[in-house]
Amino acid sequence: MNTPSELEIWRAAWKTSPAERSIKSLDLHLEYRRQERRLRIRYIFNAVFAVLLICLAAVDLHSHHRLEVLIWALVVWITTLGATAFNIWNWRTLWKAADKSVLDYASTFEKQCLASLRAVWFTYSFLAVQLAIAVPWLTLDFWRHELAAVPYMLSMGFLAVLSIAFIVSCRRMRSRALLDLKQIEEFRRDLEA
Amino acid sequence: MLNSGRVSGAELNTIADDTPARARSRLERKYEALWSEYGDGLVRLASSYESVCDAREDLLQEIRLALWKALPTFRGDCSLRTFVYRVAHNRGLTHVWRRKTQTQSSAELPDADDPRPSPEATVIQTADHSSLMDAIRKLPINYRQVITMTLEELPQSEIAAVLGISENNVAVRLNRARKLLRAYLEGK
Repeated sequence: MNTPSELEIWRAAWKTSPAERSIKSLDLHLEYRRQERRLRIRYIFNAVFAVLLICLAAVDLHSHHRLEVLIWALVVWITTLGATAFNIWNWRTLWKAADKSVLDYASTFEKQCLASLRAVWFTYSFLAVQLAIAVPWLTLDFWRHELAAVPYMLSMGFLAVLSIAFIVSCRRMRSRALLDLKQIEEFRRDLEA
Repeated sequence: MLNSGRVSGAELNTIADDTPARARSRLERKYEALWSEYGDGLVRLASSYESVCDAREDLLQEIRLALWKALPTFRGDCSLRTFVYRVAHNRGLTHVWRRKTQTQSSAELPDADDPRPSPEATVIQTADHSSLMDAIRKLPINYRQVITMTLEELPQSEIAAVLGISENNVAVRLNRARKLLRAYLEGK
């Protein structure tokens, strides 16, 4: 009589199906739609924010025909369109096809992490440029008495809140990307061992 | 088709060409058939990636959702089983990478090339599901993937297709995985 091989024994033990198969009921279609909706809302929010910035600059230029407003509007348009172009370039072809081979998937995952890090540095630069323009400008207007104290404080408060939100979100994105990269590096090291 | 529990690539191709309601209904049927065929294996696969019960449930749901999303894109370029295992392992990997606390550090693992002779008989007698699963979870991920697919009776060519590596590489990893697994089971 043949003795079962080590693998056969392990296979038999492996297939002794655990009684833990208690899968929570989940409406996959609903969950899929929910995820799609969340993603769409994010894209719409970004698009609306960009359009709003462009329109605000245009409205301001329309009501104040001054050189400094024109320069400000140009800065807003260029940075907004630049950020959009960067986003499209940065994330091009980096969707993670779930049915790629594991090695290809890991490689795409790594590229996504690097794109996240690029996005973080771009956001920091974008924020620095915006603050470098907006803060001195508002302060100068306030100092010249062209801007009252309340709108000045409100504008500065808005800028502060916006900056904090950007920084917090960027820090989270960066630490997550770095952690993911570390895991991928370990995975690659294991592969080469 | 549903009764047999088998789904072919050609059948799945028709999903995209149908009206939305019919396509959804078809997709649901195909998905159910697919799950009844591979569900047990995928539950075991999720267990090999995650030992904590709730987290394992979450991973399993992620795998189910990923399969649901990916199923309409299946064009029959590979076998359906390869497709299913690719999706599942990719979700498993993401889950492990995203897990904040690593329960197993690779530093704790014994040397992969440990030449000690192993009393196979002892291992064979003591291999039950839970001790085997515990030992498998201790393996580095790339060994774990190979051994779990081998235990699910996937041929080496298919394992290579799932992982995107050569068959030789699969054989090497399988050999090392077996050595390590044996060592873990002996030392339990």
